[in-house]
Amino acid sequence: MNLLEVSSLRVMSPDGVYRVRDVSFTVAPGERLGLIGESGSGKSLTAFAVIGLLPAGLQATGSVMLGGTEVVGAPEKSLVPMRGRLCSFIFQEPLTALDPLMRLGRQLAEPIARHQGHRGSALKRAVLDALDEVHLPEPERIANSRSYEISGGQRQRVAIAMALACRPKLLIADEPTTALDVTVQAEVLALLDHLVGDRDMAMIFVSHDLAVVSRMTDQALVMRSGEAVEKGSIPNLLASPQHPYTAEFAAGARRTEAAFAAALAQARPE
Amino acid sequence: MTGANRPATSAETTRDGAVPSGGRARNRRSLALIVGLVLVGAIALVALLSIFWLPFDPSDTTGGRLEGPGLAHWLGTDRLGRDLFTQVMIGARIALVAGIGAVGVGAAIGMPVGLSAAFAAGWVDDTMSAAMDILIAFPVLLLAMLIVAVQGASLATVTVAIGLSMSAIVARLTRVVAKRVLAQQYITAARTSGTSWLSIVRQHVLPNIWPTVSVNLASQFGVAVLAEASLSYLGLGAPPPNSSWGRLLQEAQSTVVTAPLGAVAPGIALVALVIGVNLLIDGLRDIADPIQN
Amino acid sequence: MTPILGLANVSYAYRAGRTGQQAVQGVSFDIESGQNTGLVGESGSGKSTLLKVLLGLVRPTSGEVLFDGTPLDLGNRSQVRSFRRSVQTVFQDPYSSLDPRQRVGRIVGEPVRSLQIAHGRAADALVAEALESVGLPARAASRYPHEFSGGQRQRIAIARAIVSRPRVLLADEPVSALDVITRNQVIDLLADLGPSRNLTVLMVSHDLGVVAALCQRTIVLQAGQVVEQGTTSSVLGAPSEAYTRRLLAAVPRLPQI
Repeated sequence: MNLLEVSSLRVMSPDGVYRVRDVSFTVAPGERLGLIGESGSGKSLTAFAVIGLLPAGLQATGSVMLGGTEVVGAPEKSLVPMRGRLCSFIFQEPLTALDPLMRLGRQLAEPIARHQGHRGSALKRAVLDALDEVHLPEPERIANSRSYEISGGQRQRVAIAMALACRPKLLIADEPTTALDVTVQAEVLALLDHLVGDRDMAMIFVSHDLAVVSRMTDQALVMRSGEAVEKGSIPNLLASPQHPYTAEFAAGARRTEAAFAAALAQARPE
Repeated sequence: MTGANRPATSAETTRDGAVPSGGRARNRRSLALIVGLVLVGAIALVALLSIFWLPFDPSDTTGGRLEGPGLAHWLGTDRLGRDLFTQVMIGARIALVAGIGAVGVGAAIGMPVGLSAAFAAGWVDDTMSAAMDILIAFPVLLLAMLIVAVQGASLATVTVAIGLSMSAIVARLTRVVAKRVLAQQYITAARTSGTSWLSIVRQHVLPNIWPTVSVNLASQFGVAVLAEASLSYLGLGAPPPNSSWGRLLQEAQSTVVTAPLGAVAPGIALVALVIGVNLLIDGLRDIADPIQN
Repeated sequence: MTPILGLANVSYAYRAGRTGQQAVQGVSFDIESGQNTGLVGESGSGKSTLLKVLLGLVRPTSGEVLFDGTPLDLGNRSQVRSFRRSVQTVFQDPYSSLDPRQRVGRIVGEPVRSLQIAHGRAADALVAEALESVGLPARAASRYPHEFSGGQRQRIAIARAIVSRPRVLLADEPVSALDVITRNQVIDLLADLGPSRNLTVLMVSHDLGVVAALCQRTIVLQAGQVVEQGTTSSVLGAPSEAYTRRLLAAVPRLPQI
């Protein structure tokens, strides 16, 4: 059985415009899928709709079956228990996902206590383990910090630790490294790859950057103006795109790649 | 929002999705605009008319005392036999003059101070902010009493007193909004284009802070009208026979049970003007700033 | 040939208490005509600070900014005027860099007015020519920035930057806020400015792919200091510094096909 089945998903904005139109795809347990597109392509809205987190005023129709439960039209009350356990989310800017007033250790303790039932020193141990798992140095110090006191890369690691605390079956990452420096991005991608792989989790990775997506997954769905344009393996999308938009998008990504590769190859002593 | 976040669709969609651009909000706005326009327009017309024509001389006490409404005296007379409608008309003029004057004083002092504070940094900025906060906390009443004690009670005195205490609020808002504009990259672009600071203020800062500041000034107008009525009620405003609505309320206080119209008429006029101005601002907000998004 | 713009042992320190901005120490490099240069660094490398110094917005704490070989004196009006005319800039964020309340014609014409390059019809003609050379119709002048997409806005910003016929364009992450397809169009436009308008680009960027696509020379900045500089192919192809190698290894690559 598929972990996630999205069929004919539409998302309508208050002015009656469909921001996502008839998008269908499936994710099997342990499978990874990239959602690729430019701004306004509807890729993030699609991801939000999967766990019923659409911004106010946006309305989803169609069907999203997550772990056998229909998400579209489901009351918020029945969605809350699914979030974190079945499916969790990492945002582009972890600052928005973390409470600036609460120490990070306490924030992380909440989902861990809920999931594993730990209390007291066992809970504290579990929080530090979770921070250690995302390769944060000095977990004690991080646990006692507030979100604005640590760097962007460290915040994203804390957000990942929170997202994984309840051992979800599906992780949705929405441009999780776009706001980070290149070297930090590489570290966070490696960490995500490793953690998701270790736990046999499924993942939806949303990004505008084909190279970043290709680091995380082989399969990708290309979106444009709310529609799914083409789905396939990334090498195939690059080598033999079926849709003219995919071709244009791939050519765009390949150009800077080619310039970079050429600069690397041309090395001559000065 | 930082530039780094810009390409993300999540940011775009959340921002766009959060704006309810439905027709219902727009309809409510245009209704507010019409009602506000009618209320303020009517009062402004009456005030204008009072300059050229009044049904009776304001000091004419020949009408009977506390008469009810009739053909001669539309709203009846007060306890001295003066025509109430005449006094409400004059009150409209005083309310508008006080409101416009106070807003003028507030803007003339507050905007330059706020702009200078926006440019200031370090301890100068801190000192100016503290001064504004103190002036905002300083009661209008106390300020008015101090000025009246020196200058004597008059419409000009109250107007200046209200304008002065308003100027601190205007300055603080101007400072915040101008600081935000000064942090924009088009200001840096202007500097690298060789534009002088004076021209930057004129061409970029003022046009960009005006939509926010002007809405605030307009809502301060309503506050000023109410403040003038309160100060006049306490006897600190324009002296008779040119009575403001606040003084009419005070004079009608003793007879409010036997002749309620003496208090009700200026009271309604006051409420109508303040509500009208607020509705007008609400309705104008869209028109004043079409480039907001 | 004398470099158009250069830094000679420039340091800039912020006053105590101002956090979040990286100081720079002992930075020296030259921008030669015709050699597009990439200034590469991550957050905290001091690239924004360096850009402010290069734009003549702040005085370096020590060292000199050299303009045509002469130390830049911000108190010297005629030198500053000629400097402003010759050194222009494009920013990262195409939203914040255009005044929303001015028409495009007025925005693009700002350097023309402020530097008193031309007046009236002659000024309008310069604006129209600048708009056309960035691929926008001259009638765009009568519209407002919000009527344009991000890529078009960046073209408007470039039009403003080239209207005074500068020799150097300091571009701060000019394409990082743009979508892939638009990004390539803007890179093409910037690359074309060299031959068509005799303009040399200094681009601040964290994206080594973009730097490789546009720049002949590359300078790597870390924690306020230049760690490596040279031709792009030598810096990227045979990096001598560990930090440069780390940067290169971090660049996300497409799978080989």
